Amino acid sequence: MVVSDPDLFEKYSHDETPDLYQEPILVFRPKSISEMAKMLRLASKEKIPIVPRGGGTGLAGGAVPVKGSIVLSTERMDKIIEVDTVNMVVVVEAGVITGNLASAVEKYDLFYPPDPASLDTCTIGGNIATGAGGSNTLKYGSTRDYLFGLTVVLADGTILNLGGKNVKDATGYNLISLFCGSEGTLGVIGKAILKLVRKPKKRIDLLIPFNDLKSAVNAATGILKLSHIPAALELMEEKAITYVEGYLDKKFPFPKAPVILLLRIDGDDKDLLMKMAGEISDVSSGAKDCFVAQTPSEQRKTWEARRAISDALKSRGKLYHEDIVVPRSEISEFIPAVHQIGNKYGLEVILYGHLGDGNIHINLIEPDKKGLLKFRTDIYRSAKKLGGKISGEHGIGCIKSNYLNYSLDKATVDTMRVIKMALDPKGILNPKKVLPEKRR
Amino acid sequence: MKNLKEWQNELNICIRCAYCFEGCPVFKVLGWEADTARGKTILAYGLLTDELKPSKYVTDKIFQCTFCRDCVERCSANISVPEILAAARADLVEAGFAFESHNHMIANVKKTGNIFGDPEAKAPKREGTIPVFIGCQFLARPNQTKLYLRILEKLGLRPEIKEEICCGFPLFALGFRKDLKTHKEKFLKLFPEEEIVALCPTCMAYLHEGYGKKVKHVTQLILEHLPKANLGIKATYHDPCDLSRVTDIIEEPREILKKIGVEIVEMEKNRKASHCCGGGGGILSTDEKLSDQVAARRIEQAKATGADLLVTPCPTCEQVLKKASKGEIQVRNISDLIWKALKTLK
Repeated sequence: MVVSDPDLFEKYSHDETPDLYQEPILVFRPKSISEMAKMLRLASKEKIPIVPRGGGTGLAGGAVPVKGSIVLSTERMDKIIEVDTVNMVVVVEAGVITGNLASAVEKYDLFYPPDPASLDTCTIGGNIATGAGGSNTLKYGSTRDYLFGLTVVLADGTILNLGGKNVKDATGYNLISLFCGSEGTLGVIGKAILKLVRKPKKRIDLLIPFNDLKSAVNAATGILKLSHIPAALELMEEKAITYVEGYLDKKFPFPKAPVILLLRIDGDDKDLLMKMAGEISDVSSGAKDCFVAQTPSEQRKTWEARRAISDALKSRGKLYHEDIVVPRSEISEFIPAVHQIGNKYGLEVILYGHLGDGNIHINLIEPDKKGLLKFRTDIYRSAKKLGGKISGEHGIGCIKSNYLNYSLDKATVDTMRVIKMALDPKGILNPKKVLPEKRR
Repeated sequence: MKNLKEWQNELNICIRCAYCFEGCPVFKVLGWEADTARGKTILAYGLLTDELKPSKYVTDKIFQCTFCRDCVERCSANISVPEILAAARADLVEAGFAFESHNHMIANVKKTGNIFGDPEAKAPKREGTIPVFIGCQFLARPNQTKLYLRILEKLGLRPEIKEEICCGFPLFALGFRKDLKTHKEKFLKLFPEEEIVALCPTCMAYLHEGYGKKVKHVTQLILEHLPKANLGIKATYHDPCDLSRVTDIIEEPREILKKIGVEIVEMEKNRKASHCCGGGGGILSTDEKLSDQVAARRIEQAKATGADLLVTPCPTCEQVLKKASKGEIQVRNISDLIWKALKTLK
C-alpha cells in the first residue's frame, strides 16, 4: 500500500516530459477509494502535498512530484467493475489501462473511442484528469465526451459520487466537467462510468502523400467539408516517418513524400466507406496518390508507426513538444506560421498530429534554450491571434502553467484560483500545476 | 490606470525567466528586482490591479529606465516593455506624479517647440530635395548640425530644412499623453512627408514608430554617397540603442568608418547587445547620478578596447559618454570623422 523504499522511487519521479525529475518522500498505492480517502485525510491533516499519478505518460509534467510530496498512484486500482451492455457504459477504477478497457469492451461489440497515443500504458484516471484526446477525437470527441459518472476524492478525503449511468443529467452543477482536465489539482479520480458506442464493423485507413504542406492542409479542409466525417485525420511530415522507421527498425507501407495525411474512416457499410474513400481522394487534388489500407495487418502497421512518432523523436535527443490547438479553419494559417517562427530562431520544427482537430504536435529536437523560449511565446501568441489555445490534449501541468495567461484572461484565471481555493484550501493537491505563479 | 489597462494581457504573460536582468543597464548599477523589466512590469501590474497605490517610490522606479530595449531583445515572451512603461508613466503623470523637470521640458515644447525652451534653437531653413529632420538635441548643437548639412551638401545632396518642432518622443516616453495627440497633429502639419531623413537616432525611431514614416538615418544616406578615404586611425564604435536595437541600423555607421579608413575595435558588448550610454528615457533630467553610473560602465568597456577614440552618431550618447570619460578617452560624433575624411580628399 505504501512504498517507502527510495530505491523504488525512480518510476514515480518523472513522467514522459523531458528534463523533469523529482523524487517523492513516499508513494501511496491505494487499492480502493476508501483507502484513497484515508490517505488524503491524513495528508490534509499533516499538510503534505499529494501528487496524483496514473500511468505517468503525461507530457506536461502534471504527475511529476513537487519537493516533499507524496505520490498517490492509482496503479493498484485497475479493475473493470462492470460492462453494462444495455446502458452501453463501462464502470472502471481509475488505474485501468485505457487500451485494456478498449479491448475489454470490444468483446461486446462496443467501442471506447478516445485513443491517446500512449493507450497501452496510460490510465483512464490520467485521461480524465487531463481531458486526453487521441486520433479519434475528430469524429468521436475526447475523454471529456465519454464521462457519465465520476467518483472523486477531495483534498480533505471527502468522496464525491457524481453523475451515473444516465444519458442525460441536468441535476445541479456539472462537476464532472470541472474535475475533467483539472490535472489532480481539485480532486483525485477514483472511479468512472464511461459511455460506450457501438463498434463500427468496418474501417479503412487511407494514406495520402503530398508534395508540400500547403496542398495537404488544403486537402484536409476539403475533406472536412464532406458529408461523412473521418474518425481520424492525421498529418505526418516525412522526417517524423523516417525517424520512426529508424527507431522501430522496420519499414512501413508509407509512400515517400514530404507530407502524408493518414485518415481513418469507419462505419458499418463497406460500400459507403469505399464511396467515402473515393470522395476523399477526389477532394485531395494536390495529392500525389491515395493508398488504401484495408487488411488488419496493414492497418496495424500504419497506426503503430503513427503512435511511435513521439518515442522515435525522443530517441533522437532531448525533445521539446507542444500541443497547441487552433480552430480547424485556421490551421492553414497556423502551420506555415510555426515553420516561419522556427526559421526565425534557427530551429528545426517537426510537425505531426491531429490535423483534423486543429491540434498539431510541434516538436523540436535538442533546441537552443534561448531560441526555444522565444519560439514558444511567439507560437503561443500566434495561436492566440487565431483563436487557439496552448494545449489541445496534454494539459498544462507544470511546464505550461506560467504560460496559461497566453490563452486565458485574468478574470478566467482568477475564477480558477477561487475554485481551487474552495476545493483545496490548504493547497495540498498537485501544487504548482496548472495555475500560474501569482505575480506577487 | 486607463493607459495600463490596454496592456493587461501583455502584463500577464511574463514567464519570469529573468533574462531581462542580464543586460539591464539600470539593474547593473542599482541591483534591485524593481530595476529590471520584470520588476517594473510587476509594479505596473500592481498599479493596474490597485494592489499598489501610485507613490513617489513607484514613480521613481518606473522612471528609472533608459528605454534602451535590451530587455526587449532578451525577453522570452517578447513583451513590449517600453510601451508598457510609457503607459505606466502616463498613468502616474495623470495621477499627479510628474517630475518637475519633465513638466518644465514639456512646457518648453509647448512654448518654443523644442525641449530646451531655447527660442534661438531654430532649424537652419533651406530649400532642397531631401526632407531632413534635425531634432531638438541637434538644434541645441548648431555646429554639429551645420557639419552634417555641410557633409550632405559636399556629397552633392540637397537637404531641405524647414521649421520644425520636437518629434514628440519625450511626450510619449515621459507620460504626457494628453498633450501628445495635439502635438502629433501639429507635427504632421509641418511634416506631412512619407519619407524623411533624421539626424537624431531617437527622433528617427519615433518618426517611424509613432508616425509610421519611412525614415532613413543620416548615416544611411551618407554611406550611399561617401567616397573612400584613409584617415588611418583606430576607434571604437558605440551603438546608440535607438539605432541598433530599435531600427536595426548597425552596420551602416561601421561601413562608413571602414570606408574612411577607421579601424574599428569593437567593445565586448556591441551591435544588438550594446550597452546603453545611460542618457535615454528621461533619466538624464531626473536621475543624473544614475545616468552617470551607467555611462561610466560603458566608458570602462570602451577603454578596455585599447582605443583612445569612441565614435557614435547620437548626440545624447556623445554628451553623456563625454562627461563620463573624464578625458580618459576621446568621444566624438561620427560627423566629425566624416568631415575630416572629406577634407583629406580636397
